Amino acid sequence: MNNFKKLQDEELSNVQFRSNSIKSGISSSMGAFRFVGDMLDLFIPKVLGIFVNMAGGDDKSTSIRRPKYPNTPE
Amino acid sequence: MLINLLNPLVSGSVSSAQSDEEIVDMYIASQSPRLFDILYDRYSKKVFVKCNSLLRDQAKAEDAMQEIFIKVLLNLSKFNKKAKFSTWLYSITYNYCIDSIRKGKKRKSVSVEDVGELEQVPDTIDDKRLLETNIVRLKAVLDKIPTEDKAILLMKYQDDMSIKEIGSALSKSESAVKMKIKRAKEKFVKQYSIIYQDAI
Repeated sequence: MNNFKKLQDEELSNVQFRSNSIKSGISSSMGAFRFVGDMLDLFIPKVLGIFVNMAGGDDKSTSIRRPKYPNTPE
Repeated sequence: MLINLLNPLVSGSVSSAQSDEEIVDMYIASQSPRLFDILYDRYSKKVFVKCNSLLRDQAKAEDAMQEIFIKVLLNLSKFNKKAKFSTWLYSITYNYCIDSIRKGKKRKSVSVEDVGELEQVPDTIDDKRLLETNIVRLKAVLDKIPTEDKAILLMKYQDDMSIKEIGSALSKSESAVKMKIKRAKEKFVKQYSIIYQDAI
């Protein structure tokens, strides 16, 4: 083992830091990212659909679904 | 349900002997916090020591470590397994620390790549001389040389990263990395002789 690695081992044996609070900080940040991601997943398609409808297009996800009976002419 | 029972995570059979890469795969598939805990427990100390060594500030090192692990988790799907997970993690660590020091200093420096075509100067400093430097002196000298030089020496001699791995970590060509290593070694030797009035 070279002395660079021995130096690292020495530093590792003396290290002290707020491990648990850092870990919980990481978890809460990831939770926040996930929440924002879920919200975007949920609402962005709807918002885009509304804009499509406003522009005169036909977005199936937001337009009212009417039952279509068999043999109904298009 | 059956899938869950067969999943080693849910059934609680994730062993500490499993490789980092296996754990990464399982994390990507399940997003289980338990798997993240395993990776965190394996590497948090080493990442912290590196951050503290480069940033030279406990609070900044703790903040950096948190940011680095978040970055790692957000980019885990980009980990392509060409290198070991530890190498990838350390690359992110070194880059983060170097960037944050650069942002802090905002100094104007001429990078090795800016100089133009690199001259092919042979490396005259024997690795053995560096590797056998007394630990106390090694630490003292490393603390005195610029952070980028320190980082590149740690990558090569502490983490055993290849020239190619260092190059991809720092987004530099292999010849640029060789030149950086050579210059870092020269600065190390020069600093050693300044501090200890002695040749290494």
